Amino acid sequence: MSKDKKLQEKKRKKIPRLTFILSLVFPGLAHFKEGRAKPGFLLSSFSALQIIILVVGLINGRMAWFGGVLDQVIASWASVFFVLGFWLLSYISIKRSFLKQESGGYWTRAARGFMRHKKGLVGAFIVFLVIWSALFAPLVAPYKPLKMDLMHTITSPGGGGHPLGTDNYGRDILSRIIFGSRVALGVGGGATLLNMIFGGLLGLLGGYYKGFIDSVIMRFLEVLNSIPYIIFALLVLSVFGAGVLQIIIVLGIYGLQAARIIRSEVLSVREEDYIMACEALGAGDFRKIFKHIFPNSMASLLVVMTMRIGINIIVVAGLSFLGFGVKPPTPSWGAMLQSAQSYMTVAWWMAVFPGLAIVLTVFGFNLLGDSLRDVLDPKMSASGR
Amino acid sequence: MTSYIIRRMAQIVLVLFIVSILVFSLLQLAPGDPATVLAGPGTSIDEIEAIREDLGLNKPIHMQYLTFVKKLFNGTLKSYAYKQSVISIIAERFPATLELGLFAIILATIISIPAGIISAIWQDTTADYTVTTVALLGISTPVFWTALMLMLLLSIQLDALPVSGRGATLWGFSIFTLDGLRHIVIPMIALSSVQMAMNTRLTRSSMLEVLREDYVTTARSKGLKETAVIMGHAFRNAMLPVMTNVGMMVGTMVAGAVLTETTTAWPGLGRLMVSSIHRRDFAVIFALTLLISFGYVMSYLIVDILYAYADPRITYE
Repeated sequence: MSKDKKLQEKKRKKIPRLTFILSLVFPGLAHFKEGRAKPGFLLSSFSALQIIILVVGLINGRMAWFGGVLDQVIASWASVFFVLGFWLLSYISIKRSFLKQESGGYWTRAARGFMRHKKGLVGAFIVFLVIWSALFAPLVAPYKPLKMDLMHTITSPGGGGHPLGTDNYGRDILSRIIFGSRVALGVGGGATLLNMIFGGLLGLLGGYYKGFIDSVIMRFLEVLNSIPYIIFALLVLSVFGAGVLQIIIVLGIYGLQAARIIRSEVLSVREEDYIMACEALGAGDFRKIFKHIFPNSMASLLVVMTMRIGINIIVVAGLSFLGFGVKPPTPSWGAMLQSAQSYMTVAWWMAVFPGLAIVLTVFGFNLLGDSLRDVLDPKMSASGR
Repeated sequence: MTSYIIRRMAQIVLVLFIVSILVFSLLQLAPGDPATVLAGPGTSIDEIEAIREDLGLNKPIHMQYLTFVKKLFNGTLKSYAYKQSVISIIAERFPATLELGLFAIILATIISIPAGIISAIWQDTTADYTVTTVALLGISTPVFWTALMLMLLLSIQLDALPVSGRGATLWGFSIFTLDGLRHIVIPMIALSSVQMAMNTRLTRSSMLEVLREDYVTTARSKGLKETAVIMGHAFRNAMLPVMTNVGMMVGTMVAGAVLTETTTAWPGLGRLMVSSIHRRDFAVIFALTLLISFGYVMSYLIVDILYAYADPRITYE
């Protein structure tokens, strides 16, 4: 298509005035008018959620704009910028829908496929909810996570203004769960990131160079695989001490399954004609790996990563439960369950709710991962649909 | 085949050797002096020195490693905390974990396979959605929380089962006594839950894959009853990867056992591992890690060998 034709196309598809106004009134409204109910619903519900967070924060006087605790400042500014961001996003999305060409690249098509995937949207919603509560914890949590309400220790849900009850120190369970999402996501996510970097790199190297390097890498993975993760983690943590950083590193080193997947991907991609073609054009190893082979492995890497976060969150909780995790006063779901065990007979809520938080979070990531696999990688798909 | 097994055994020996060095070096880095820990409070320096001599802790590191391994294999390696041979401590607790793991695997298998098959045959029905959702919830739930919830519901609220421990045993097994049977229910369900869910998902996808094969279409088109097609043609082929997974469970059960046993106070190897790490009982940690790794890699090998027997298409050169 020539440039002139493209311009004509743009001109013909002018945004109707009403749609334009609606897109400025509230995010998502314009999408409803254009008959795109799903993105409209997503945009408007997330904007509403974001505005509620902002308003709740303002009413309770939790905002800190310039001075104060760093996470509070970040949350305050983020809540404002995100509201603006949703407005902008909805406007851009409407504008782009009028310029949109048929079909598009791999990722555009994948995104469109994902929007049709009900399971995936539910998963994405749960994951967003958890990320949101981690980011805006100081604004939405009813109490400070370490604040002890000594008048109401071990209060059942609803009592003394504590929606999910309190623990043995009178700390609000709901607030601790909301703040606990930071540990889960931070440690689980951090470890997963390391998994992907180490695993991805090892897989790329092994698959690309084959031969000696490959067999050394595979033996290394075999050794790691022959020690159950929890025992490996317990051993290392007992030596180097438990702590956030240590857990991230230990889990980051252990969960290198990504390496195998990337390796097999690389092994198949490197035999493709276009790799030979770019070799003939004089491309070096670095260029071949990062410009051509790596982008082709991105899809499977993304799927593995999403599933891995769920596993890592469970492992982190397990380690904290055994007393090798995050240090006690810091709110973390695993440690909350550990202390709950001593109060099982008197305070069921201490054991139930943090566990539900873990299950919901991991369930969200698994749903998302399953759907991403269906959408991105039909080969790997469980049902082949 | 024989040469394949020999090569794999050699690999296993190599892997275990590296694991042993890895664990030994980790333990060397750990703070605290084993001799002082072993001696306990109020021992004279001379006595500590004697213990150090006995354990070979005053020798260079590679000699220490060799002494450690030698003592482990001739059965004289002593636990730092219990003052008895590591082998006997492990042997004492091994049956508990064996029993728990075995019944957890059996439970996981007999529930997951029918569930997965039903889900695959009636794909996209309510039954399928229920099974897949429950299975996904299953793999999202930490085993220790499952155990806690079962304890809360069955033991504390309903008062139907004992909260924790192993109860009475007969010939080393809990299930032969009523008391033991009541004790094993909660840890068994908790330990099997994740594997049950994973195996259900695997059975479903494997079954779906087989049902799309040409020979299934052939079987249908020659007029076979649907039950005959599914049980006679699809099922047996779909079971290959599933059986592999059941074999792999042996390894993953050990990891799950660490958490389940700690939660339900089941006196097995997993709990021993955690308590040994808390006590810095290096000898027990070393021996246990090697034993568990051995079980892990052996289960992989056995699965691979059985696979070749079950599926004539697979040969190892």
